[in-house]
Amino acid sequence: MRTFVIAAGFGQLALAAGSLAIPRVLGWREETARLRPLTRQVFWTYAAYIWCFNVSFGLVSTLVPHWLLDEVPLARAVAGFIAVYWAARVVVQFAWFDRQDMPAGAIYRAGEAALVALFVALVLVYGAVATGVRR
Amino acid sequence: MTPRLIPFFWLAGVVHLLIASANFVAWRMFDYRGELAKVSRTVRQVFVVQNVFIVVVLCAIAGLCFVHAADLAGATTLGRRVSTFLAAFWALRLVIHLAYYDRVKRGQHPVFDLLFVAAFVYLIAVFMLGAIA
Repeated sequence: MRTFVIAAGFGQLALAAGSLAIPRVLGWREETARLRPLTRQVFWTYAAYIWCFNVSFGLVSTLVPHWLLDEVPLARAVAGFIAVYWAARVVVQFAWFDRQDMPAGAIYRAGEAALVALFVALVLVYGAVATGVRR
Repeated sequence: MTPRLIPFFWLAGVVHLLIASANFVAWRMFDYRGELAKVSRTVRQVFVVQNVFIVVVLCAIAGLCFVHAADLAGATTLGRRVSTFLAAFWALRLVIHLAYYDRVKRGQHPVFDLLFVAAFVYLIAVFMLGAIA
């Protein structure tokens, strides 16, 4: 299980690195320039916080996986929270984001499939840790 | 661990829930709906998702404060580390609030502004105590 947790950590770090391109690809700077200052600041603050959470999950999993694999209830609770976090992300992908706005083309479809596969893998790994799988 | 700290973590859980609920108040107070009409559908959806995730995270931290208060108060090594992370989390949030958020808008809502600062300072103090307990 330690190997899976470390791999999940690298997956989240790669995701965080890749997501740095999202503001440029989706033109967030130009889009949010139309908002009032406070709304714009809330948007960027929340985006930064979510990115930091993803990086934190990745760093803990890659550098100190034993923290999550400790036989203490708090470790299971934290792993359970990470599992729920990514499960929510899967739900958002299919139930909330407007798929009509998705870019067309095989490369984008492959990218989305890879992204969803990563989210599901994260749910499975952290869900297993939360439910007590240690080996 | 310092058992006397435990009630302060329970109160920290309540503070997290209050901050989470403020996200709902903000939608009306700052007319997010009207604001988001100015941007593309994708950005609008991202903003809503951000809000939902922040609320979920705050509720999860509140849950930790209620259920694992003893750990966060220093009973376990992992608990002290989580407290350290949360102290840093709220310290950064306080800096953002004071240095980045629109001062004019904050000045229009002085009571809310003061309550937010007080909440952040309380959370930093409690989690720092847990981190060094």
